[in-house]
Amino acid sequence: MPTVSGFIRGDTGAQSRARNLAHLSDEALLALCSRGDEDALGELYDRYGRVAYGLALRIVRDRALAEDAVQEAFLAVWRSAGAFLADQGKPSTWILTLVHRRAVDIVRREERRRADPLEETDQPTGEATDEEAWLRAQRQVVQEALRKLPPEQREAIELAYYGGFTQSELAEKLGLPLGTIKSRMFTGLKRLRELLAEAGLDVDAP
Amino acid sequence: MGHDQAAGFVLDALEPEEAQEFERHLRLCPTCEDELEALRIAAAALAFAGELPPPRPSLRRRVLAVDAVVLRFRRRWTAPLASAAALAACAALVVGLTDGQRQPGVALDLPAAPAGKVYEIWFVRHGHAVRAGLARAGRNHVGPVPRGSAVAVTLEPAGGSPRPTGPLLMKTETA
Repeated sequence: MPTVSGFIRGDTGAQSRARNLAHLSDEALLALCSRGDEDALGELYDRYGRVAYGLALRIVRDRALAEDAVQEAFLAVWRSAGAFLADQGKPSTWILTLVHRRAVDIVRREERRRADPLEETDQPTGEATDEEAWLRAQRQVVQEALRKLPPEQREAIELAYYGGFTQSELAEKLGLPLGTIKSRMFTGLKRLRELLAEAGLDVDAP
Repeated sequence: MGHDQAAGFVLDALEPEEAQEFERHLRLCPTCEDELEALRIAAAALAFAGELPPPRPSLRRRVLAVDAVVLRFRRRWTAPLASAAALAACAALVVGLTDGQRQPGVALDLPAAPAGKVYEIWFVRHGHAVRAGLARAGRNHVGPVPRGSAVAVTLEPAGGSPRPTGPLLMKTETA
């Protein structure tokens, strides 16, 4: 009878120490993932795990469910890395897209959607790590860009992205024609892209 | 139908049938395909706009357990229980392969049981529960789980019960 005690990787730390892969590009890490290199997946997690988890948590509002979303998304990264590379998108965008989709699926299934407005408190934390400094700078740029959008466009985008509402649900919730919602989301998102590009935002981890 | 769905698509705001239709459209429309990547970047940037509390270190281990079969807990509570929320929060599930077989096991993190009670674990198949043992507070490994069985946890009087009598705290999907 096989035992399962201690099958969790990393519990003992005995087997393989992760190599240092910090110098590799996201694309190179995905290529390694597609060849079954778990250290490469670990490095991608180290780069995007925190933002992935924060995004999922914001949508599902439950720590365990957010962890489910992140785990499932990274499993999809692991399994589809090779296919994705052939498509030539940005890995960071792809990873966050997968996390978002999983979180939205979960929140729709669990019917725990909520739609609080975006909080803008910039919490002072003790000593800032490089990662925290980077995240804080990113956050400032994105919040700044969001503030420049017309409020109705911003509202439609935020309710969809963070609230997990479909555009049909939003039309009903806001008492507006579906076409209005669609054009607010489209115009808003395009404008957001321009604003972010002007601000030089890059979603890739440094 | 088509172009005007691109924003809804990258925001995951389409109904399932709309999304399928848009994906079909996408294959025929290079303009949309090009535009989509720019919209995707804008959407992904939104991930950075909120609080980003660090995840628990155990999440990294779960993420790296890629050679595992994942059984999802259905979090359904049949009885109100003071520790239910705490339990849901710390129940971690990791399913591993043993001997190269797809033999799942379950890792459970449990808080201390209420006084005079114990957690009892069951393998459930076709509505029939087989005792799998008592769980301690902290990390428990359960497995291998027999194929076709789910893992359930109930709260029982001290010493355990031959058949489940207490509230069902959690149950996995079938292995």
